[in-house]
Amino acid sequence: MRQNNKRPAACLFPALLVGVFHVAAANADDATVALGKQVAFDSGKGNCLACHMIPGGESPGNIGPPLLAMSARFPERAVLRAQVSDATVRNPDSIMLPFGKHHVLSEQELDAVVDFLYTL
Amino acid sequence: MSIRIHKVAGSITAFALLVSTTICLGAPSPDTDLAKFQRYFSERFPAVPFDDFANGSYALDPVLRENWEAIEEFPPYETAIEEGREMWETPFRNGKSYADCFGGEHAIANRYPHWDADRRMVVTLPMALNECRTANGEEPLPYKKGKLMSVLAFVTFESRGQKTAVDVPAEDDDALAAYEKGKAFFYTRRGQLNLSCAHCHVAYPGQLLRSETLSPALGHTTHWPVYRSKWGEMGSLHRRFAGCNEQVRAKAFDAQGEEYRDLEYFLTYMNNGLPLNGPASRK
Amino acid sequence: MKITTLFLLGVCCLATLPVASATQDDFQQKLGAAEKARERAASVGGVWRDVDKLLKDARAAAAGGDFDKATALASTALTQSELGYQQAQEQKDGYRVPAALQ
Repeated sequence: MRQNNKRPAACLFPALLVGVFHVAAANADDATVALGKQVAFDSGKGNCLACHMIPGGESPGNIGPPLLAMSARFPERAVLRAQVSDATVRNPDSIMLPFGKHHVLSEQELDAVVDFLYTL
Repeated sequence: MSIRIHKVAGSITAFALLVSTTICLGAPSPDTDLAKFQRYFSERFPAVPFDDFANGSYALDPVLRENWEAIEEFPPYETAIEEGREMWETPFRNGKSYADCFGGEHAIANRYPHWDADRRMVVTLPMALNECRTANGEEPLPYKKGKLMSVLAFVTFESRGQKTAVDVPAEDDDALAAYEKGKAFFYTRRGQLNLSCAHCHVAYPGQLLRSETLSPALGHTTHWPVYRSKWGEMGSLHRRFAGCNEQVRAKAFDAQGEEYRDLEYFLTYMNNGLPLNGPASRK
Repeated sequence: MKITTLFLLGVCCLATLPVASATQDDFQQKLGAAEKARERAASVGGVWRDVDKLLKDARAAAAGGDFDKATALASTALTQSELGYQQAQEQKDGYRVPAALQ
């Protein structure tokens, strides 16, 4: 919440330089990341904390690896997105839910979660 | 191949050859499944004595165990045992009693589940108790909760200390088929969450799902019925099966339907040798 | 010019309106397909937890005249039933026993 309030002011100076369209773009990204975080933490949606430690999340499970340094571990966005969508493609024994394949999340929610993961 | 052997050496030799080939190749059989299953858990939790697996997650975590032992000092299933004892000792309207169905005995938990060769199906203890009722003109009782849990609590309490001893008769193909069906159920991914029983209870026991410790499958069948804090009452093994299926977002099967009876047959066989220690309390 | 504008407006209206709101026929068609898919999934033990409730809610929404909502719910039930059937078929001979237990 605090971040969102600050953001318009922080964006004002670059916005004046490069035009109003970038402000819109920056806000949209913020909104997507916020949605992604909400979906990730919601126990009825992504429920990522059931299995993964995530900075900022309380009492996480320890079934899967901590969600850290995601851009180093998944340089390619498509690979990370595919992993969230259906982890059994890479590992047929994976316990991870196929969030995309089984429509646990919508395509939009899936994109938002991936955006959020890249902030970790 | 087998026909040629048959001609040359006769059926007895052929049978022996087939059996030994099976053993040499390590093809799955209930025996080898059992050995590998139990060795897996013993190697994974070397500090846990075999019998202690009957205590579920409490065998793995000292803090959980302490809280559980405090609860067990005033067991929440005690009233169920007493109600069950009274039901057991009260004759049916026709003058007969439960004991008459079971050769006058009440410590009968280790006889179940078993393959009934005449009926060609797996028979469980709750089912046998209800069939005793209906055979004597009484209404069958619900299989997930309620008064049948009390009769079960009494019988299992009286059977404490017996060992799990399920038999899959080798000479009966249908018994083996029921075992295989239960095994397939256990390892099959189901529901929107795409999880099998084994994913949580074989691959990740002792680890945390959020703040809950996943229990090992070795020990799952020894202690029913259970007073579960989450339920706030007594419930059966098949109630728990149904709950687990719904947690992975699959439609649950019927309590005492073929799917769960076969699953119970396989899973209890995997628990062979563990002491029966029901009823019990769980979180 | 004027005719072209009117024509375009007309096309726009025709193009958007039917998409935006489902009719009773749309719903009936979707519900029929969903029920069929549900039975197919049931035949292999592959029904997912929420399918029956989705179908119930869909019928209730239709009874209340909300065919958009009813059709969307039936559509979700259809998708879930198809996925449940597919999963059960894949697992039928494809279930995996962990290596240490094989």
